[in-house]
Amino acid sequence: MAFNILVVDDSLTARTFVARTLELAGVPVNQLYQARNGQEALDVLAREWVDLVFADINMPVMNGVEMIRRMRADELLRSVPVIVITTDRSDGRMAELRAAGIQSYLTKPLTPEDLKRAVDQLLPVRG
Amino acid sequence: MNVENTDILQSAAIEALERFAFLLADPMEQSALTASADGFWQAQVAFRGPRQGALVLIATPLLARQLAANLYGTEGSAITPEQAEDALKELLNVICGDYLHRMDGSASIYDLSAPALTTVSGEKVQAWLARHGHVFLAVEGHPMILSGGD
Repeated sequence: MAFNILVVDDSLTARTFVARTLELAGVPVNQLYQARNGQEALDVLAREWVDLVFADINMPVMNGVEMIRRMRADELLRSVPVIVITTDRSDGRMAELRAAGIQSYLTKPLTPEDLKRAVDQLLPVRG
Repeated sequence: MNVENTDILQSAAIEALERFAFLLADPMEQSALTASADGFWQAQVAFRGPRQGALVLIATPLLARQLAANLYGTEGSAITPEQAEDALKELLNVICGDYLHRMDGSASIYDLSAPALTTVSGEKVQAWLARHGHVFLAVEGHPMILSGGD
């Protein structure tokens, strides 16, 4: 089984790095969608089936926390798992993100092992 | 401002380069800094929290291209200037987040600005170094400087 994955980050480098790390980690990807901010991500989620979202927090237009809050308020999107990838690993920020409804978070610089572990915890066993 | 602990900043930078960009870095003497025909790129990110200030990363466009090539998994010749600039800004973002975490632990919340990038001459780099504490690194033979910002 391969997954539809959405990567949300205002940095093209960061999006590409996540895509490459998914490949290195051996995560099977069917479609890889990209968005530059929370609003673009919500637009993608409104028209595409997505199994998992990787999201940055600090983004222009709409940040990651607001995007997650809107997803959790949407009946169709509230169960889509979100993994936050951030440079901020403070307890306060993590509490804020968990309250907003994230499933997991990874801190930069992340490794393929970190990423695979997080994906394996959230997505069904691959056949 | 001056960075408050250059040893911690140096460790954060070396680890980020290795883990994020698969680039090896070693401390370098300032006297080994040579002119760059293409000038230097200076990226800056501001942070606000228990400490307030900015972190600056100075590197050659050639190193930025090598960095981007590693991150994108392609040849340096295939990298656009925009990709190289974005890669340098993202590297600074990673280093800054890790530096602040190492300084203050997980109890402190920081807000980081979007990194900005400008081109600077070798003379301006030297003048900058005279005013700020800094870390010098040789990254795969290319100079990289980290310091506090104005």
